[in-house]
Amino acid sequence: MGACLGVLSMNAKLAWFLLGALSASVFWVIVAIGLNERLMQVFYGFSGH
Amino acid sequence: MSRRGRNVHIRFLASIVLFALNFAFVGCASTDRLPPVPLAMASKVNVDIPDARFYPDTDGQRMAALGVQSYKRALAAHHGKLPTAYFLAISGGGDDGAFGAGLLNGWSARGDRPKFDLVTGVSTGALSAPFAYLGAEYDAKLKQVYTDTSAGDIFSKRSLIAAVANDAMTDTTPLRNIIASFVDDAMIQRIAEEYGKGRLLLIMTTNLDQGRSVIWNIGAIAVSQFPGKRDLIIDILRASAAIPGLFPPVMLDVSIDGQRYQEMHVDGGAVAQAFLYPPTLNLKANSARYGIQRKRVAYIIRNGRLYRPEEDVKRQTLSIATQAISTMTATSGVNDTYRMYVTTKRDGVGFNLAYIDSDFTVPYKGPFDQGYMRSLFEYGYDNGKAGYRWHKTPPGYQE
Repeated sequence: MGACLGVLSMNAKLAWFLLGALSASVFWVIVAIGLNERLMQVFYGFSGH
Repeated sequence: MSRRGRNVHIRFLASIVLFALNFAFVGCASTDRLPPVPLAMASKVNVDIPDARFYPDTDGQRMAALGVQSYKRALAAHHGKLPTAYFLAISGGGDDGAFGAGLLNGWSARGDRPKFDLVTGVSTGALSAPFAYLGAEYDAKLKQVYTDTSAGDIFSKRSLIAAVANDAMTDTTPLRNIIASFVDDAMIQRIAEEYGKGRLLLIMTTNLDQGRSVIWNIGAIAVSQFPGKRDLIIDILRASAAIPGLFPPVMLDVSIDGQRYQEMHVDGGAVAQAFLYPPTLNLKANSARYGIQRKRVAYIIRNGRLYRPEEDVKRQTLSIATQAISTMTATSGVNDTYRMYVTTKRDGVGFNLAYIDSDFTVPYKGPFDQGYMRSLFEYGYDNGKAGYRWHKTPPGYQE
């Protein structure tokens, strides 16, 4: 892997880095939306539902 | 790649990271606040309006004096022996407030709904209370609030990061706009007129810094010359319905001897789901002291079921928390009926209780679902029009 990365140009590395960051961001956004909904349900419990 | 090119890339990446951090924590800026009022200095707070508010745990005598003043005003307005005094307490319950709205509308349609001398409200009950106080002429607007709104009309969701960094999961600017649309100058004028006739409209919020409830005398605010009285009434109603964690608290600026403080007010339901008057106020003893002879009858609308519906609770942290909080709130509502029963029994006040019974079977789909609220409104309306069979004791109580 390290050897493969070694032959990549700086632009390619940057592209891979951004792609990885984007994938991670999408993952965490999905997790955050799900958690947001669950927390809203928790707090709405104060209304008796 | 040249050194200069690398620097450009690093600067580009750093800019992205900084932009993301700035975006993520943009909500932090609004959570600053002035210091809270120390509990020992609570009685020194100047709210500029006489009799605007009371602490139920310590202000029994002040509330008794308010009751006597109201009695005298009612006597002056009535010219003769006063008829039976009717009290109405409307509880919290979020979108289940559609039940009480329907019940009151149906009761009006039936034609024997009394004119209430005292109306109290907590949370969603606080939003209904001004309409109930002003009588059948406001029934259509009350119906509109609970049947023409949906979640999007009440709040807008915040992102998880903004919610955690800010003061609530949502922004309730839409709810404030709804409240502001009905609390207009005409309504405030009508409330002031009725206050002058000895009628009371009381709303409960929770002072979260002090962990105790506050009863706001809306009539006193309406009749005052305080320039910001409309905004204050809107803020009180919004605070009373501010479900902690879900809806933002309402911060009220106050001062003591020129020093500025801020009070954090949230849903009155954090302390009580409903109230008539505080147990520290002994109506019977007070009436004897001032020679007041008047029959009193109380009606309590519990906007909710007595107990949380059965649920197959998942063995997961958030599921357990959700159902535990919901169970605590539902049970708190039952406990409040016992508190009110004890005080009404002591004082010789008639006790009547309404709640959503097991014959309402429309499934719950989520907060402020319009279809659910319309069904619940119709259920309440039908019960009210048919003549609700009021419960004479708290649930499970054997005399």
